[in-house]
Amino acid sequence: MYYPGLEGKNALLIGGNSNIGQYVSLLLAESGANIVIACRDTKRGNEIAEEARAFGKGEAVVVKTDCSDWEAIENAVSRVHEFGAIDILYHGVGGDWPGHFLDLDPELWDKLYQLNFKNILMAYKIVLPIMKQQRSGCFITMSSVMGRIPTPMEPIYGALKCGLIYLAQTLALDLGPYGVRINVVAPGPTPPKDPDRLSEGSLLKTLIENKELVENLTAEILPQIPLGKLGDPEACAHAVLYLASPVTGGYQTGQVIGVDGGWWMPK
Amino acid sequence: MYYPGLEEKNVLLIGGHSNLGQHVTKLFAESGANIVIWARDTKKAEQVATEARRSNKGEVAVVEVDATDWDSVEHAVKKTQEFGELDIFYQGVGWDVLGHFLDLDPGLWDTIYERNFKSVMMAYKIVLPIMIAQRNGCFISMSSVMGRRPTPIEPVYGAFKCALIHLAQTLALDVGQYGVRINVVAPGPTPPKTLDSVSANSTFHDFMADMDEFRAIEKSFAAQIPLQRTGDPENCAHAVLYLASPVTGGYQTGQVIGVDGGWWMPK
Repeated sequence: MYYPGLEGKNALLIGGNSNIGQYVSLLLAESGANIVIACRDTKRGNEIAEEARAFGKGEAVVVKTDCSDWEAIENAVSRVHEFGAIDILYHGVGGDWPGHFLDLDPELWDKLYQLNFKNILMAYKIVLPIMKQQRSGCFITMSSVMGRIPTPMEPIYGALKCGLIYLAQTLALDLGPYGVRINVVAPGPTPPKDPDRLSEGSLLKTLIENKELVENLTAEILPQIPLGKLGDPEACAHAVLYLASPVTGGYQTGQVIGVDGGWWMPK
Repeated sequence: MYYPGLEEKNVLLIGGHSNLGQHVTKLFAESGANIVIWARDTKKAEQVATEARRSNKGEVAVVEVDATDWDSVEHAVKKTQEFGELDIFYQGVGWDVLGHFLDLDPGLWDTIYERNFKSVMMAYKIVLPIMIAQRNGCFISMSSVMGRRPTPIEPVYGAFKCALIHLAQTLALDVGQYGVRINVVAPGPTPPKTLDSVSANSTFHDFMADMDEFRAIEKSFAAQIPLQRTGDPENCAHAVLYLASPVTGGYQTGQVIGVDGGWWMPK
């Protein structure tokens, strides 16, 4: 699908190679943006970049990036600068090891913080000064329904995903006067269409290999979702594009778009 | 702009001819839907219909309807069913008089209730049984940022716009199991570019009767909005289309999409 106003815009996608991010990359490419996919699994990244180039519109490049490494993010940003301004930043990295709080190994706390929160703090700290100076920019991070509904199986992940909403909204207040928009997409449980379309190192990949756990989780979750089904990664990617396009989302900042079958209903 | 999955879908729009609704109509027409505009001001509605027919895709009809009159709405539904299924319903009627609660004539309470709340209840009561029987349908109602944050000059209107969110979410829980989605768009202040562009009964005729006063209110609002400006009706209409398209919004129910420059930031 084509979203207007994105032709020739430059987008950096951290995690633009995995479950939801790959469709964000492809929709941006279809809409004529230049994309830089920053990821660890460059094999998967290059496959997406190739699909993106098949639209015959913008550029699509892949930069090997450890998104917890300050210099690596700076390097990815400088790759975008070769195209010009950094118009859109999509941060889609995250993951969890499901388990009740008291069962969860405290060794995982720092890892969850690094993966789901600190990485995003770093991206904001590096990219927002640039967008502020540009007097233009659009930053989209991924929260989760688990950051809006307390879910005992994802206690720390959920708390950090909630923190991401609060952070985005706080920064949206800071940056609004400079024409920089910061928004959040909060998916419900969104399994891949095909496990082969996940990046190496995806925690979701590890999770879905545990078929028994997935069955139990799904049986627990489904009755709570008004639409009675799990999400689809491509459908979810449209929320990112809707927010990114200045034509459709240009008056939005500090917003959270839930794509969760109605599991959480915001006021 | 073209939103996929709407070709030959049948769409009813109450108030699909005024400030925001006319742009919703146009986008549905561009996406290939069949459209029935319900309006009191059929002259304005015919103008919008003529414009919509230029897309040369689906059918476009106008039916004279008083959105607060049960028989009138029922008659219009029957007439629209001649097209076939009732896939999408847009309820865009709203009306207010600006003023603090203690300054507001109590004689207006019932009118504000009927136009902003009872008319929507009536539409739900008549349309949802049809959508349940179809096992398919999408209902979109319009709230307002005034229904999310208390605003002293729109006290009663704001309370009803808040109630509309609660009602939509309650009903979304009821009908989700039948594949019927109910969502809400909550615009910020979104004045028309000119008064010629709205219907004869539009609330903006009152709001903009004293232009100096209106501009002063607009300015005071803009100063509180992170993006520091008021909204644009055409831009806002995209939120309705995003939710209506099964490709982009198919996993959404009970959601509220704010298009308010960040004035309200939901959790």
